[in-house]
Amino acid sequence: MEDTSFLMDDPEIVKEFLTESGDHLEAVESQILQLEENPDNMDIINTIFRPIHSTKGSAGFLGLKDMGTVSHELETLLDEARKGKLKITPLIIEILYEGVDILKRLRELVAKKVEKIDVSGEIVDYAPVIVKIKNALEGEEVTESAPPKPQHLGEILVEKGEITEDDLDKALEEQEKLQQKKIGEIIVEKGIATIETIDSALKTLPATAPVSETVKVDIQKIDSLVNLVGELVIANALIKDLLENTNSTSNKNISHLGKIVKDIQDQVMSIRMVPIKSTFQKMSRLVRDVSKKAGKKVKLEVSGEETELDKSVIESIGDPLVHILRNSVDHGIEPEEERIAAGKPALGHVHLDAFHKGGNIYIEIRDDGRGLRKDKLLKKAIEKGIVSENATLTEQQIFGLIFAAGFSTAEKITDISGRGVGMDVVKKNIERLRGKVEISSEEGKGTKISIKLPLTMAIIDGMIVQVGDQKYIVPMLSIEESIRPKKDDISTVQQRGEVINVRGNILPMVRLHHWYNVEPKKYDPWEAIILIVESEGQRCGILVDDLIGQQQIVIKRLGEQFRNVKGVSGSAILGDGRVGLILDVGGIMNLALN
Amino acid sequence: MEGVLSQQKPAEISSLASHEGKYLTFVLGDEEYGIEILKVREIIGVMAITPVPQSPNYIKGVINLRGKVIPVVDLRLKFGFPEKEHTKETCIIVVEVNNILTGVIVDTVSEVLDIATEDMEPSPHFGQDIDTDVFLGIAKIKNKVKILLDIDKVLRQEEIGMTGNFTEAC
Repeated sequence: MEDTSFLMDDPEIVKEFLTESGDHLEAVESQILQLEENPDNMDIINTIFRPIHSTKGSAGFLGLKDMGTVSHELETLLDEARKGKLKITPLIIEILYEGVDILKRLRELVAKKVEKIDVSGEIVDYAPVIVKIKNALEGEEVTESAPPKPQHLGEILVEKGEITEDDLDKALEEQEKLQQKKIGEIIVEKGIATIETIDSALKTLPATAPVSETVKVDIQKIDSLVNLVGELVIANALIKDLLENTNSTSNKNISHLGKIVKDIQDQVMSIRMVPIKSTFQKMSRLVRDVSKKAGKKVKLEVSGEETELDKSVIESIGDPLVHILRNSVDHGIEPEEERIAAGKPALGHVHLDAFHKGGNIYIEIRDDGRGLRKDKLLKKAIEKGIVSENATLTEQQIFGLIFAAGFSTAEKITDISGRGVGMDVVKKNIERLRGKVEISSEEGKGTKISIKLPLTMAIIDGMIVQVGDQKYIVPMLSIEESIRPKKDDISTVQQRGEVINVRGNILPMVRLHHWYNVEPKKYDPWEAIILIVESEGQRCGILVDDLIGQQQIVIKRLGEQFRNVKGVSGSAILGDGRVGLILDVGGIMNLALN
Repeated sequence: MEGVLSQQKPAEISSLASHEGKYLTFVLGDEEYGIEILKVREIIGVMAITPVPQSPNYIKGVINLRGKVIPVVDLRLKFGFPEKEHTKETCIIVVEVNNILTGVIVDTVSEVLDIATEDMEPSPHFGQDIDTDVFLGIAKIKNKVKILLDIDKVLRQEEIGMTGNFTEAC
């Protein structure tokens, strides 16, 4: 183990190195994935080479010998490939992955040391990978390197035989004269080639991603900005209410101000938004590794990588995706023989997609595997005592069983999945993000898991309800419907419990005023309103005096002092400037029903 | 209680000396109290308080302090005084303890006093009935006694009390 006590001399520089190298290594990993698909693309090799090179430089500067050595060796390997002396084979890809993994682990060690965590027991042995690199460098015969891919449109067209060198020269001359024109346009104008051929040639050009400049900002600064803007929106609404009935000039100005405030809010919210790309890239690596381990051929198709999500959502969505994808690959996709026997293509497909729809973000995971078997799920659930024998479940409820803790239909436990832990984490994590999971599946055809997430964690749609002289907020996401029951719909159980009959479904009824200790204005349910709410598969009716209206609210945490309060998940400033408590529907149910 | 006043230990005197400084004094019933001015963020009038369920009676709830949601403690109830209707005089003193803002309801705020070590005496003991841990000491200014509060401890206890109450509520 190298001596790194000097790291503490200037922890700031080391921390900067850590964030930087973290970004670099992540970028490298996703690029290796690309390289695996296009082993001859020099551009990709270059984009891998550069971050490795700068990691080597910074590590050397900080005296981190281990990281320096590994990145140096990787750099040498890549340099050979860059010069065309080394062909990128699956073996080289494997070595690159291994090298990056080792660099990551070494980086974590440094991170722990900076945080003063004891790492004396952890040793990262990087000798094997160095040997592998050396072998690869010596063992390779100097292969005739493929000529580098042409970089210019004109060259591609010449190579394809669409135009001659002469034509190209003429067109280039023309371009000299007319500076703004693109070469493609000139060629089409001169009638040398058609637009279609130009288009198809353009597609073979390596795509250059637009580079946007960025600034690193402390997340706390953004958070407080988001908070302040939330206040601004509310304060603006207050003034608007106040001036509603006054003269028209101020009204006009206020509505103009309102528009500006809305724009500011959108902009500030977008600062926190990051594309889901990096998470998806990690998933590509995961599917690659898991399918290799399971001995299956699986291709992960990714779309909607540019979809932007709140940073905090992105951070917590990784784990659920890992579990879902592992399950898809390990249990969903059949082994090759089975797929061929079923008349499916040998290569299994898993599709990962993200998109916006109706103010929410959806992430979908589809596979073309064997699908979920309802009878098998139900049998297992009864066996495990999760469901009683004579229960009737809807399709959604049966599929939902895969999220129950300790539930696994896999006949054998592999080291990838099947232990029955994991999928329950999925549901919990997503509910914590105020999202929902839905499953649809067809036996033999495949499974689709759809995750619905709010745009941001900081703002939710809430229903404001009145109980006595207090107002509470119920998240719209958990409300199924609100009803005013008939007298006959309500019955009591042992004089204490109350149930409500909603179109034949008997649901327990919870009196909010009882649990929140407030004096209600309406005792009789048939004069009040009942909200039918759902949480973690459980439903119940919550009795409130009245509905006031729907509103977007900025969530504020209640202080530490109230961390033990059950049934309240936070608070928000209401339109009248007072604080309203946000109901934790799951917590209320636990309190009242369990 | 006897002997405590005459036999001040040197350690007690030096700890008193560190409490020397400016205090915000306020009235509770017919007693006067003081809080170190450095802990006080601002003084506001009573505003609409949203009660929080399952909390002890002296935590009146939460208020909106310019967009921040902060808890409010009624010091009368906290110290076992009878509850009193809020008047125009009633104030909420916003204190900052460990970066957390808390509102403290008092009958009325009096003044800011400079209290020197020689005006201060360690808090006498009253047996089990009164928890003297929450006092920094007692000051005598112009023949009136002012009880100096260790607001950190007053509010920290409130959190423990909270947990206790909650288990009962369950």
